[in-house]
Amino acid sequence: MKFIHSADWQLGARFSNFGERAEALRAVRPATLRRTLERARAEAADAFVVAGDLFEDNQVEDSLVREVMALFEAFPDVPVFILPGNHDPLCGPGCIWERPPFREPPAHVTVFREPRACPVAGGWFLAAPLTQKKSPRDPSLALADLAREVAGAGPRAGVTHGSPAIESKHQPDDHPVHLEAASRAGLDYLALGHWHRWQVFDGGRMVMPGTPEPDGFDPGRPPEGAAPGEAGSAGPRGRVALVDLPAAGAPPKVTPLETGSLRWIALDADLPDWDACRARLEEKLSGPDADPEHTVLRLTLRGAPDLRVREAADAWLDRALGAYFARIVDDRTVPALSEAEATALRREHAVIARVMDDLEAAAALVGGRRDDPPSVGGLTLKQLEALAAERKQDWREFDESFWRTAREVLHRELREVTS
Amino acid sequence: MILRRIRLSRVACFLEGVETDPLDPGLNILAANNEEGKSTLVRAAARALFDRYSGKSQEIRNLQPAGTDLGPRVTVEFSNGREVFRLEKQFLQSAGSRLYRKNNDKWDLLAEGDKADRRTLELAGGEQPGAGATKPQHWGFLRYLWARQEEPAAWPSWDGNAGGRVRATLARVEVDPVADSLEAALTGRFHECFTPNGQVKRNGPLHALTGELEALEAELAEVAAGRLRLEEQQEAFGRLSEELRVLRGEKERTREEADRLIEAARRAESASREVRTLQKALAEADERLQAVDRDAEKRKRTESEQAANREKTEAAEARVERLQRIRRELEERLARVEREGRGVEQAVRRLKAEQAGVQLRLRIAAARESLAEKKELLEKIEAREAELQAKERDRAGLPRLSGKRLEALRALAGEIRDLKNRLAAAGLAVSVTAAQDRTMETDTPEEGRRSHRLEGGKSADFAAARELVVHLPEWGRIEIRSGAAEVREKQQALETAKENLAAALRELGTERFEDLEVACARARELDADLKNLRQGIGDVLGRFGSADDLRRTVREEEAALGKLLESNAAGDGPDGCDPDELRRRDRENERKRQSLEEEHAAKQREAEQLRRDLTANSRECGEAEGERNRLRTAAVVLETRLKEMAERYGDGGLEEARRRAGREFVQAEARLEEAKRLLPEDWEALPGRRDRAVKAASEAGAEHDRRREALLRMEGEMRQRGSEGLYSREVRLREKIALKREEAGALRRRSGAAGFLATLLGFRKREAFERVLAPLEEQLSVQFGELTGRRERRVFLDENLQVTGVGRDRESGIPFESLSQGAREQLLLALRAAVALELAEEEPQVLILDDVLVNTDPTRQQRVLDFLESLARRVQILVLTCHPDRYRGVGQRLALHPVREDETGTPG
Ligand SMILES: [Mn+2]
Repeated sequence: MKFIHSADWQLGARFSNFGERAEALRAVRPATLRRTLERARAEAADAFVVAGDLFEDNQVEDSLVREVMALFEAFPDVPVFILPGNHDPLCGPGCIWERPPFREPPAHVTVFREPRACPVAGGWFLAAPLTQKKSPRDPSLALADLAREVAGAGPRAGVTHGSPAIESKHQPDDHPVHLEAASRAGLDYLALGHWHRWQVFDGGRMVMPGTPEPDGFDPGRPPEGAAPGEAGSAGPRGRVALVDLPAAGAPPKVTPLETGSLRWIALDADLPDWDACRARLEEKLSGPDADPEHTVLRLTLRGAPDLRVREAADAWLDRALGAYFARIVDDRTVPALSEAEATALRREHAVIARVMDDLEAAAALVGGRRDDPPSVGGLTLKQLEALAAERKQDWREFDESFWRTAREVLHRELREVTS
Repeated sequence: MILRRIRLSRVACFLEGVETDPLDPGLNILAANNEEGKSTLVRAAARALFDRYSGKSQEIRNLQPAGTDLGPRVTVEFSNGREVFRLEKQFLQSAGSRLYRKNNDKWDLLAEGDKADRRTLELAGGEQPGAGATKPQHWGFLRYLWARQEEPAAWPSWDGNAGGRVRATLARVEVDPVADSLEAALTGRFHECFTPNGQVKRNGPLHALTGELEALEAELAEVAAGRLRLEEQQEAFGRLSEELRVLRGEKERTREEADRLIEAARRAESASREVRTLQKALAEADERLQAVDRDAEKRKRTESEQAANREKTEAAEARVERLQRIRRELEERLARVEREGRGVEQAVRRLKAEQAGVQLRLRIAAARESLAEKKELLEKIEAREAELQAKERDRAGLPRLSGKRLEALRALAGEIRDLKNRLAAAGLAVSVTAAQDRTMETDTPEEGRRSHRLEGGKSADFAAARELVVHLPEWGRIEIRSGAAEVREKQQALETAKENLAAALRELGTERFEDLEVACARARELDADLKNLRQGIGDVLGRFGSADDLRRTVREEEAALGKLLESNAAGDGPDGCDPDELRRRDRENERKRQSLEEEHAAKQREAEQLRRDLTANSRECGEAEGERNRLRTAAVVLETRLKEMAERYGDGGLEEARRRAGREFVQAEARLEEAKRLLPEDWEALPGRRDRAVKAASEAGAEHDRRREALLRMEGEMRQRGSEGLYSREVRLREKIALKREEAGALRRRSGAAGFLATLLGFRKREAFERVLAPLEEQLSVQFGELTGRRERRVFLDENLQVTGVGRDRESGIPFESLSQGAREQLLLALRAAVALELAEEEPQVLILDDVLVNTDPTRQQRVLDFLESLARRVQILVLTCHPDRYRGVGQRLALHPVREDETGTPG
C-alpha cells in the first residue's frame, strides 16, 4: 500500500505582516495542492492522506472550500482521505465538514468523521479525527482500540493529528500524542500532522511531514539531518511524505517529497559599511540559486547609516528587491551623521548639534539605566522630564523606537530645511 | 569710528562754508536752535561717509541749498582709533571724493573717486545699497549709535550685516535661521496631526487614519463575536445533542409505561364494573328473601289477632246491654225527685212574699222614730249657734295680736318712759320763784305749751330735755337751750321709739298704748267664752260632724220614709200594725221558711246525685259501644289482610316463595365471590398511575420535541454562519488593520517626535540665548539704573536683542511698549550706551544724540549728565540740542565757524 501523507496545508492562513501581499501568499497553497495531487497520480498512490489541518480554520470562506473540493474532483483517480485537525475540527454544524461540499463529498473523497478503520488497497487506514481545538487527550489512544477491532491481514496505517508528547515541548492540552504511539497501537505507520516541520519518531513509524508550503521565516528547528539554521540561510522547502507499506510488520519506506513553491529567506544588512554590505547582499540575492519570483524575503536593516548611505541603500534595495514574491524590510537602523556632516553641523548650527547630542544622550538615558542620571553632557534626566511635562507626556513612554523616529524626523526635516 | 571735525559748504542752509570745532574724544555739546542746521550737519556727514559721490538720488539732492543746483561739499575728519582720516566729498556738480590719512600734521592722499568711497565705507563699517541712496541700515554701527530726532522710540532691528555684526559682537552668538526654520518645520509637522494641546487634530491625517482604524476594528469585533458565538454554539450543540439523546430514551420509556398502564386500568375498570353489578344482584336477592320472611311473620300475627278480637267483641256487647238497663232505671228515679222538689219550691215562694210585707212595715216604724229624735237635737243646736255668733261679733271688734307682740310693745312703751326720765334728768332744769302769784307758760318740745300757776315766794321747777321756752307775763319770753350731745342723742332715740310705737299702734287701730292693753284683756275673756260655746255644740252634735250634717241627715231620712210609705201603699199589708206583733210574725215566717228550704235542698241534692249517676252511665255506655265498634272494624281489616296475602302468594303459597328466594341468594353470593377474585389487588390505584404516566409521557415528549426543534434551529443558524467565511473576513480585516495601524503608528510616532524635537530645539535655543544674553542684560540694567536712579530693576532682552520688559524678573517685567515715553527714551539710550560700550572694546565709537531725552524732566537731567560724563570716558558722545541750559558745565561745547570758500579747498 502506497500513499501520500500530507498535513497542515492550513489553507486560508493569514499573513498579516505582509499587508497587500498576504492574498498572494494565500493563493500559492491551492496551486501547491494541485501539484501534489498530480504527484500522487504520477506515483500511482493508493491514497492521498491529509493528516489534519487541511484548512486554517473552520470559517474560511466558502469559495476557498469549493475551490479545494474542485481540485479533488479534478483527480477522481486519487482517493483522498481527510482527517479533521485542530484547526478544522469536526465540531458540529457550521464546520467545514458539515457544510457543502464536504458534507456529501464525491465517492473518492473520504472525511473521517469518527474513529474508524477503512480498508485501502489490501491494507487499512485507522483514523482518529479531532473534534475540538484543544484537548488533553491523546488522539492515538482510539487507534489502539480500532486496531484491536480490525481483523484481517495487510499493513495498518494510523492517521491522527496532535503534538508529539516531547517533554516541555508541547502544551498539555494540545492533543498530545505518545512518542511511540505507532508501536503501542501495533501500527505499521502513523501519519501524524500538526507541527510545521518534518519530524520522525518511533523508529521511523511515526512521521510528521510538516507543512507542504512553508509559512514563516523561522522554521524552528531544522529538519533532521540538516545543519542548524543560521540567519540569512534559506528555510526548508515544504514537504509531504511518500509512504510505502510493503506488508504488515515490515518497516515503512518513507520518502520526503519537496512540494513547497516558495522559499522563505531572512537576511541582515548592516548599512554603515554599505559597500561591503551590498557586495554580500548581491552575492546572496543574485547567486545561481537565486529565485526571487519564488522567494519570500525578510531583510533586517541594522546600523547607523548617515543620510547619504541610507539614500544609496534605499535606491539599491528598491531595484534589487522588486522582483521578490513578497518581502518585508525590517528597518532597525539608527539614522546618523557622517563625520563631515557632524563637523559642519557643529560649526554652523551649534544649537542643532546640541539637540542631536541631546537625542543620543536621552536615548541612552532612557534605553539604558533609567534610574541613573548619565554622565553624558547632553540632556539631563531632569530636563527630559521637564520637556516631556511641557508636552504633557511621560518621558518613560519614550522608548527606543521613539528616539529612532526622532532621529529620523530630525534628519529628514533638517535636510529639507537646508536644501 | 569717532568724529574729529565736520565742514560743510553749499549744503542746505549752509550756503557759505561752515566748520565745527575739533571734536573731543569725550563729550561734545552742539547747542543751537532748531532750524539752525544741527541735524543737517550730521546728516550730511553720514551721506559723505556712506553714499557714493556719484549718487544723484533725491536724498543727495536734498543736500543742495534750496532753489540752487550747487554741488554740496562735505569734509569729515574721523579716526578709527589708530589713524586719522579726512574725507572730502562733493556731490552732483563737480562731484568727487578724496580720502586722506593724517601723517604727522600733513594729509596723505589715500584714494580718490570710487576707490576713496569704498575705502571710506570699509573704515566706517557701512554697506552699499543695491541702488539709490543709503538708508540707516547701511550706516554700520551708526544705525544703532545715532539717535535721530525724527526716529520713533523703538529699537531698530538687527538685520543686515551691521546688525549681525553688532549682535555677534554683543551676544557673541549667531542667530541661526536654519535652526529657526527647523523649529518651524518640526512644529508644522506636529501640528499636521495634533492640536497645540496634544489632541489628535480633527481632519488631520492621523485623525482620518484613526477613524478608519476604529471602523475596521469595530467590524473585526463584530466578525470575531460572530465566530465566538459559532464556537460557543458548536460546543453547546454537542452538549445539547447528548441531552437530546437522553430525552429521546426517556420519551420512549414513558410512552411504553403509559400504554401498559392504560391497558391494565381498562381491564381493572371492567372487572370492577362486573363486581358492582353482582353486588347489586346479591342485595336484591337478599331483599326478596327478607320480604318473604316478613310476610310469613305477618300472617301468623294477624291470625292470632283475629282470635283475640272475636273474644273481646263478645264481652263488649254484653257490657253495652247491662249499662243500657241501668240507665233506664236512673231516668225514672230522677223524674220523680224533680217533681217533688218543684212542690217545695212553690211553698217557699209564697212564704217569702208574706215575710217581705211584714218587714216593710217594721222599717217604716223605725224611720219615723229616728226622724223625731234628730229634729229635736237640731233645734237645740241652732239656739247655741245664735249665741256663739253674737260673741264672735264682739270679738271681731277687738285687736288681734300675739302675746309676744304685746310684750314687745310694752317694752317699747317702757323704753320711752325710761328715755323721758333720763332726758328729764340730764336736760334743763329751771327754778322760778315769783314774788307774787302768777301764771306763766312753758313751751317744750316734749310737752308743748303749758300754763303753770306760780305761787309767790315759792319756787317752781321746770325741766326739759333740751329746749325750754318760758313766757313770763309782762316780761316776755325766755328761751333756754341745752347744747349737750348726750341730750341730743337721747332726744333722737326717744323720737325714734315714739315713732315706732305710734306706727305699731296705728296699725292696730289704737292711739294709745293703754287702750290697747285694755282691749287685749277683753279679747282674752271673749276667746275663753267662745271656746266653751263651741265645745258645748260639739258635745251635742255627737256623731254628726256639724249642724249641717245633721240637717242633711234629717232631709235624707224624711225622703226615705216617704219612699217606704209609697211601697207599703202598693203592698197588701196594713200600714199601722204594732211593731212587736209584726216582729213576732216575722220570726214565725222565718222559721217556716228555713224548714221548707232545707227540704228543697235535700230534694235538689238527690236529683243532682241521680243526674251525676246518669252522666257516668251514659259515658260508660258510649265507651262500651265505641270499644265494640272498634273491634268490629279491626276484625274487618284483619280479614282483608289475610285475604290479600292469600291472593299474593297464589297456589304455591308462602313456603314455596321462601324456598325460591333462598336459592337465588346463595347463587348471587357465589357469583360475586368469583368476580372479586378476578379483580387485581391494587386496581383502585391504577387510574391515578395511568394518568400520571400519560402526563409524564406527554411532558417528556414535549420536552424532547422542543429541544429537537431548538437544536434544528440552532443547526440551521450554525450552518448559515459557518458558510459566511467569518475567519477569512477576520483575516482580511486583521491584515488591513495591521497596515493601518502601522501607518497610524508611524504617523503618530513621527508627529509626536517632531513635536518633541521642536520643544527640545526651542529649549536649547532659549538656553543658548539666555546664556549669552545674561552679561548684556547685566550691563544694560546697570546703564538703565544709572540713568534712572532705580538700580533694583533689570532689563530683559529676547533672543533678537529686543527689550521684552523691565522689572524684577523676566516673567513679571513691564513690556517695553507699556513703558512711558520718557522711560522708553531712557531705556533706548541705555541700550545704545551698552551697545557703544561693547563695540568700543574693539574700536572707538561715537554716540550721536540728536535732541533725545526731550521728555526727560529737569530733575532727572542731572542723572543723565552723570551718565553721559561717565559714558564719555569710554565713548565719544555728540549731543545736538536746542536746550543748551540742560548741558551747561559738561563736556566741550562746539561752535560752528564760517569758513571761506577757498579755505575749504576743492577735491579733484
Ligand atoms: Mn495543527
